[in-house]
Parts: sequence; structure tokens; C-alpha cells
Amino acid sequence: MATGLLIKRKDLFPIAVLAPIAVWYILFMYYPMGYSIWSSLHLWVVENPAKSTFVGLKNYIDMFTTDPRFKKALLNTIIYVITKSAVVIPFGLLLASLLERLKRGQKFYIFAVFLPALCSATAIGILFTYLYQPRFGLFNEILKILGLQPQPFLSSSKQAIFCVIFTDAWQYMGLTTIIFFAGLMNLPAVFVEAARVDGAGPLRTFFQIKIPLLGHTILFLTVYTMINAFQFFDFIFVMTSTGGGTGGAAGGPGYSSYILSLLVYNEGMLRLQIDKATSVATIMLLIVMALTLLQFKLLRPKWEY
Amino acid sequence: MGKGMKKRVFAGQTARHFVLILASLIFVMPFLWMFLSSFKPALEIIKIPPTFFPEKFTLNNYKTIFERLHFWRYFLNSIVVSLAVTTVAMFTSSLAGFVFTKFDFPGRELIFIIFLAGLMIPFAVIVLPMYLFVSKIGLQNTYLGMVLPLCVSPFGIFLVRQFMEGIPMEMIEAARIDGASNMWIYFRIMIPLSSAGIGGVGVFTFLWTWNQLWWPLMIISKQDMRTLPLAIAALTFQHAKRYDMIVTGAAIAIVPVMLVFAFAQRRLIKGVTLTGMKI
Repeated sequence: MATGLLIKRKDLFPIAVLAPIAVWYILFMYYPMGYSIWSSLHLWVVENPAKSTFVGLKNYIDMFTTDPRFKKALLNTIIYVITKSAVVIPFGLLLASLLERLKRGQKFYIFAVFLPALCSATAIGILFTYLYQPRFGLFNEILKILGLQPQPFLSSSKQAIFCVIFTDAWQYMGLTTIIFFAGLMNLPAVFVEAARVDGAGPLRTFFQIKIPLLGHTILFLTVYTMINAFQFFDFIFVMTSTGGGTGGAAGGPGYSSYILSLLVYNEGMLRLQIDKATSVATIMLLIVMALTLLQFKLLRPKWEY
Repeated sequence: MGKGMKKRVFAGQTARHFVLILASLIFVMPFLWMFLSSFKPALEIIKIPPTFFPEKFTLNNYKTIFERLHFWRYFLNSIVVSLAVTTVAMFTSSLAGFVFTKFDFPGRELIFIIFLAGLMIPFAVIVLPMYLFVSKIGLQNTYLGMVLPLCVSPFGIFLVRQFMEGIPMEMIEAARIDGASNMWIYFRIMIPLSSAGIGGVGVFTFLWTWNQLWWPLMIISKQDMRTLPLAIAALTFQHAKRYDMIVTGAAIAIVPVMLVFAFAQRRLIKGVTLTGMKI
């Protein structure tokens, strides 16, 4: 056999295992990704995509300059990512630190807090559309009991996106809580003990010893949450077709609760504008790649031990 | 411990419980409301003001949803798809983990990085081309069309590789000297010694697939082929929403997860904190 093409007998097994997986990766990851980038640079022809004409960055320029839906979706996505992280990280940490020093009942509280995280977002989402229902929903009933004004929630173009973010945060909180809880339990007892001997109270110990020691976990989980929030689709899709009588399409009322992932779906599947949809998707790819690289960088110190 | 100290600890514990009970209420209340409502007749659900406990307890909602709305069929579809995806993902993850840790071949690190990089690609980026491709090869409205694009898990490969790295190479070499084949080593050494990792991949892949909405939404248009999330999402597509069906549909999707969690709480939590695996 020619030396250049020599396949050693011992390499046969790795090839037999990895070849099918590699084919899967090409067909269901890298080819679709490449196609997305390709079609974002073309004027896509529905009847015959191969006949699409190259238009350079036109789709992107149009998106930023003329498309009000994109601007709204981008803004909402930024609000979504920041608000969700700002809720689930501090409150998760708070719940975890309450749980940490508990002598009894940990298991029950963890069950209650973590259960939503295991359920499907679809189920949680439709359940919350019922709770948000303005006339006979639970939330307005609670507001009434507290003597407050009932709210339109999902049928208001100002409130809809925040109702979705709250639902997402409600579901996600269990994850941050138990990860922080595990982090707190694994802190070296020496530091905490030393602080106590030096006369530091529980609050000071928490802020000056535990939080710095948990710094890496907090940072990592924040980036992880941002990546997750940035691309999430299910909640917005099942919860926002309620608003304003828009009928079938999600993102309502009007397009007030559009986020980037929903824009990709609606442009691509409802308006058949594959080129526009994939331009949005390509922008998402760039942002998620940047965040993921940041996440890997953050993980590295742990690997170096 | 002095008496004052004991008192302070007690007060601290009580305060903690108080805050935690309030917090738990926020998490439990929606579920409680859901279960109670699912036993109310349609007219009571839209009653103003709403009732807390059902005035007239009925199982009709469940009967309607299973019999008239064919939820048993969607349940079955979800089980088939989730089991298929989980099985393939466990096999591919563990085989790839075996090859990446116990074989030396050119390009090993590079291939691993290319596989791992799949984690960076948002589903939104691949979903439309994948839809065009999968419908072109005629797999719309089929189990295969649902399973194929989901059945390899980049994170699973990464995780099992971590677990298998700890298995000493000497064991593999000793088995080879005794004439063991690669498949024998895979089934008798690699799988048993990394069963915690592979099991973790299994549980989480199952839950992840069970909860999938976006891909089935793309590829399934025939009612009979709907999965459970798709079927309950479809309940909200209607213009005049039937909240009795919505709330019962949510309950049906949530109960199995609740049961699994109640029985396997410790292991699930351990898996999440150990791996940081997303669901």
C-alpha cells in the first residue's frame, strides 16, 4: 500500500466508530450552519434555492436599517438576557444560602424549588397563560386580594415580554439554586471557620468569604444563563400567541414580544423569507460563539489543577 | 454551646424556614392551582371570581383529553421518540468516549474539538436548513425525521469522555494481551466503569428529548404524529382558548416528571451539580 494512504489495522476501530458520528455532524450541524451563512448572503429563491443571487451583506444592512421587527427583537432579547440573569443569579444564591445552614427539611425545599426546572417549558408556558389570564387567572386574583389593580399581563404590549421572562426565571431558578447550594457545601470549611474565630458575623462571612470563594461559580453560571436565555424559544412561542387577537403567530400583541429566536421562526416558516431569517440566525451564531468561548475560558482554571 | 447561643440558632433556623416556606409557595402554588383546576368542569374554570377548590369535582377533562383529543397517542409518540434518541445518544457518547480516551490516532484532538464545538451552535442557526433538508429526503411526519437530528449529543460525548479518562490504560492493555476484542473491552470494561456518566447522559437526554418543542414543531404537521409538547402547544393555537383543556394538558405533561423526580431526587440533583448538565 502507498505510505500516504496507509490505514493501520489498529485505526480501523476508531474510524468505524467516528465515521458515522462525523457524518451526522456534517449533515445535522455543519452543513445546516454553512447553509444558513450562505443563504444569509443571498437573495433566496423559494422555488429553486440554487438560483439564488449573491447580494453580499444586503440582508444584514436591511435588517439593521429598515426592519422594525428586528430592532424590537434585538432589544427584547437584550432585555430578556439581562433581566433573567439579574433575577436567577442573586435569588438563586439567596435561596441556596438559606438552605445551606438548614438542619431539617432541605430535601422538601429543594424538591419544591427544583421541580419546575425539570418540567417542559411548553407545559409551564401554557400553564402560565392560564395563570396570567386577565379575568379569571390566579395572578389577578392575588393582586385583588392584596388590594392592587388587576393587570392585562400577556395581552398588553408593554407587559407581555416581562411576563414571559418572569415565567422563564421562575422555572430556571431551581437550577441556579442547587448549583450554588452544591458550591456552598463544597467550600473549604477552614476559611469559614477562620472568619468565625476572628469574630465575623454571618453576613460578613457571606459577603467577604463565601461570595469571593464562589466567584468562579457565579461568573460561570451567569455566562451559562446568558447563553441559554439568548436563544430560548419555547416560552415565547407558546405564551405570546395570546395577545391582541393576532391569531396564529406568536410574538404578540403585534410584534411587541418578538425575540431573535422567534424572529427566525416567523420569518422562515410563516413568511418563507429564508434569507432574512438566516441573517438573524447568523448574528445569533456570532454572539453565542463569543459567549461560549468566554465560558470555556472561565472553565479553564478548574482544569489546570 | 451556651443557652443564649442555642436560642439564637433556634431563632435563625425558624427565620430561615419562614422565608423558605414563602419561597416554596411561589414555586408550588402554580402546580397546586393547575391540579385543582384540572378537576373543575369547563364552566367553573372560567368563573369570575375563580374558585380555589373545585365546587364540582370531575374527571371529565382527563377523559376528554385522552379519548377525544387522542392524548394517549401523543404520549406514545413522545415515549417512542425519547427512548430512541436516548438509546442512540448513549451508544454514540460511550463509543466516542472509548475511542477518544483509549486509542491514539492522528487528528484525535482536532476531531474532538470539532465535535465539542457543536455546543456553540444555537438551534436557531441550523433549524431552517435542517427543515429543508429533512423534508427533501422525505422524512416529514416520521419518527425517523424527529429522531435523527437529535440523536447525537455533543455534551454527552464530552461528559462520557471525562468519565472514561479515569479508567487506567493498563486494564485495556491487559485485556488486549488476553486476546479481548475492542467490543468486548467496550462492553465489559468501559461501560461498567463509566456507568454513572453514561446513566447521567441517558436520564438527561431523555428529559431533554421529552421536553423538545421546536424540532417536532418544524417537522410534524400530521396530528397523529404529534409529540406531547407539540400537542399541548397546539391547545393554545386556537383563537378561543379552552382553558380546561390547557390546564389538563399541562398536568398530563408534568405528572410523569414529578413522579420520576420524587423517586430519583437525590440522583438527579447529584447529576446536575456534578455535571452542570442543562436539561
